[in-house]
Amino acid sequence: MPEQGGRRQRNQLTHLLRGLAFIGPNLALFLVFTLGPALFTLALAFFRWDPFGTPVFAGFENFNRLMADASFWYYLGNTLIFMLGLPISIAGSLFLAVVLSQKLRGVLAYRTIFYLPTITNGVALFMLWRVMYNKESGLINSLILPLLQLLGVHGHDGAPITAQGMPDWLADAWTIHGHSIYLAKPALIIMSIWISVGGGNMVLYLAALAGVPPDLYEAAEIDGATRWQRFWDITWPMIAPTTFFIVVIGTIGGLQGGFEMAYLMTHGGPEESTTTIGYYIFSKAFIDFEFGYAAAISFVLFAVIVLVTMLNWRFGTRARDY
Amino acid sequence: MLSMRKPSLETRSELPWLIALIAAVLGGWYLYNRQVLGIYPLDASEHGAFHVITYGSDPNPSRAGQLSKFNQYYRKDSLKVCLVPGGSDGSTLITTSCAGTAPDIVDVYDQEDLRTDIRKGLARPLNEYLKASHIDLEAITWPARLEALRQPNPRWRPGEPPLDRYTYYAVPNNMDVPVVFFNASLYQQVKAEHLRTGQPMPPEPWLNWTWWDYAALARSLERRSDDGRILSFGATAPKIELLAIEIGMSMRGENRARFEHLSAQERHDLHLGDLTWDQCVSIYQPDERSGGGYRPFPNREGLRQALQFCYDLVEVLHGAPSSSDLNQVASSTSYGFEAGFGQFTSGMLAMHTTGRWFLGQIRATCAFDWRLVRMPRWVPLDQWQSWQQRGLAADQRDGEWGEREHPLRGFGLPLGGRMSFISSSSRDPARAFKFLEYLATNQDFNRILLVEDGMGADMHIALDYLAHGDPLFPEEGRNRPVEHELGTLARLYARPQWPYTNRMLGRDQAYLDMDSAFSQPEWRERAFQKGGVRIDYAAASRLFTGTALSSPDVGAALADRLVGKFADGLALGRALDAEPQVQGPSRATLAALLTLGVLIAALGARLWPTRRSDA
Repeated sequence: MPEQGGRRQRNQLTHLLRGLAFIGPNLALFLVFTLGPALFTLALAFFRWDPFGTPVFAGFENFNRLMADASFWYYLGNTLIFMLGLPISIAGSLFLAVVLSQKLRGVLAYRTIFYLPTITNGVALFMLWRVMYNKESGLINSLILPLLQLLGVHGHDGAPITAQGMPDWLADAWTIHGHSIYLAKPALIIMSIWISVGGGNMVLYLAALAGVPPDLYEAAEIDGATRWQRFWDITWPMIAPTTFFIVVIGTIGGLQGGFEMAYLMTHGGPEESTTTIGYYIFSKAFIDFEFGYAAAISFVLFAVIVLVTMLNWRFGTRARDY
Repeated sequence: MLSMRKPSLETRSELPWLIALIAAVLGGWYLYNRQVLGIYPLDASEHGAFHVITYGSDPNPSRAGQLSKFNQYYRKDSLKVCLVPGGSDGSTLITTSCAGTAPDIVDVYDQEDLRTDIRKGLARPLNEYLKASHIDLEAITWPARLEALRQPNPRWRPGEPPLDRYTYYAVPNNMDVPVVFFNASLYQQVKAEHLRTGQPMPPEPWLNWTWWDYAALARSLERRSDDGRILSFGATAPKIELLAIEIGMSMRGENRARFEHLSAQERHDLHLGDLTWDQCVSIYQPDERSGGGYRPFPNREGLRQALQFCYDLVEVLHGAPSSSDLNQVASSTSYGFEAGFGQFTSGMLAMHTTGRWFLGQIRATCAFDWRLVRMPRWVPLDQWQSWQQRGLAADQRDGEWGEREHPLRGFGLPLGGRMSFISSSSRDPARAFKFLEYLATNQDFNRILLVEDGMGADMHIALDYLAHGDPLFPEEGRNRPVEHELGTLARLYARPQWPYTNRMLGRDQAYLDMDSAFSQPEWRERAFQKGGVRIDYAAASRLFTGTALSSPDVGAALADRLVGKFADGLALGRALDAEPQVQGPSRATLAALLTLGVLIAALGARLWPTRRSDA
């Protein structure tokens, strides 16, 4: 009937307007502060612009320069090396979550303690680790030195090793077959693992573990499954969507990350060994004022992230959909 | 009884409440900022009674006194200046200038920043105002500073006003010269310890001390606990550029005519090669081969010696903290003048090389006996070694570099400091200029600066002040002997400008990179390889007993590295200052973008059905 049809249409329109009214503010902010700048960045990649003057169209100049920029490729390599900590961090988070989901006395306190690094100010953490990595008086070397002395390790000069002979974790390099291996890289990876292992990933895993139906475990137990079999055949597949989510988010974060620790702890050094793509984008945009070039790097990074995320979706789906 | 309700945000009546809540939060936030925190300025014009000049600068406490003096003087003209803290910060200035809301007057701390501001049209020309006010900056201020403030006017013809030979863009606000602040209390404490244990102690700094005396003193004043913890640092490492120029001055000597007639053997002995008088102290030299480019550090030997000295001071003598040492105190790592101010005022750093404008802060902060000392000068190591071996005291040092014959040989200082310009955003530049006039010519302002800051723009007031003791600060007689300051001022030079718009691409970044370069093990290995050791200090001086300085190879390698960084920066700066040419994609770009695009499209095509089935 036409009258009913008209009323339905009016209702639909009202619903639509009401829905738009709710998402409107969010949509407006998204357009202004996210999509707009993203499109602006994409356009800017084709211009030469320092923020004082008018952008000048330069075609593919920035991209051509990027392809020939040895620093970019080196920093991309650094970024990928830093991401090697991701699987360890995820495994650590899962292990912690499994332990902390047990019925232990004071489990809440443990959960809080492990989550503390995540809610602590990043700057404070980085400065703390900088002091811990100090050559002469840092905690790390203070723990290692007595062990080395106990084992009778000698320094380069043949005398028993002292604090002066210990490695400077944020500055030294070991030369192996003529190649310098900078200690700052593993040092920062270890620190990142420490910071992230008890953080958001652990909380996600705790939530996922709580969602696994207990009757599955009961049934498996009746069937005589061992603890490992229960974990591998029930827990792991049941929390696969969470793992998948963490891997995707962690990969994206890893490709974008590394700026804060490099800025605060090493200034990207020694010998640019801790400069990541994120740090490079910052220095090009806000130190060198090469916004066009920084935009081109951001654009390429964006494309790489999209690609890696799609690869994750493509090849991680089976694990996720157990 | 359970009531089944729709989720609350879908009920019609709650939308206005939500909007009202958001409005209340935002409005409350604004009012809190305005009324409680006072972030948004209140009516500074006092209902239009005053014309307000806004002044972007740092909120240094001494600024308050300077501004209140202006407001006192110009009250009759209904003028008032208000500080905009941080209004001169680079990123803030960019955004406010784009919006046309930058402060009327802006401070700039670096000559390259001023050049950039001029090039981008952020700074207004001042010639008309200078002429109208009869201000001749050439007569008022320091010659070494003028080139930073002005640019040659190619349209000027003889017969036109001489002032128009240049376009002036800024006036000097304060003048800054590097000095060494010395912790005399710490010295006495360490000296007593050394006397108790029978160790030698170098003398306190004196007027014509050298960088080697500085190094010896720095080494003596560095103290560590048994487990390697830093108790006090000796000194900060000098700026490489300053040292390279001083070494260049030392190499070329005092007499230009004599330099021109040096024999081949003499030039060889002085490591001069084919350097000209100017090239001895140049940081960048126009390079005719590259058609308008620049060649960094033509005096490579001077640079090599400067880097060798810094390396030895930091890594061998441990007189200045390495980046690892600075990590112990969670400080920033930089071989700059500003690094270490906190350590000095806390008594942890014995000698702090910094700008004279820290004088007021150090006077107000330090709870120990301190001295203000002139910067050291450069003499060749073998000359210093010879004095040490013969045990010559400070006033007995002889020879070509001796204090009697040539007390200023190898001595020179850059004159830097803050400058102020009228921003393009200023709606009333004529009134704004009144503040610049005050900075450049007002005697009270200039005197305030001398006591609390660096030195004022007015050279004559500064010279007059330094030539007489200050009755307000009688202890200054000890910290600031007259010949000390005037000797310093006689050797001021303009710091060489980075030739391209973007200095960070080259100069600063290249120097910053030396932080990590010094601590690389490859230098350490090379420094002490067999037969490469330069000098055994045990033979030269008891001050460095048992210490050998590193091989000259290290200085050469570090110089190569620094020159390489500079050359890269210069090339990039030149390319970026040139007009861009529209380019098509190169083969590599095309291949990379196509690969990315194809992979994303292919994966997207594979994933799309999966996502739809998921839905």
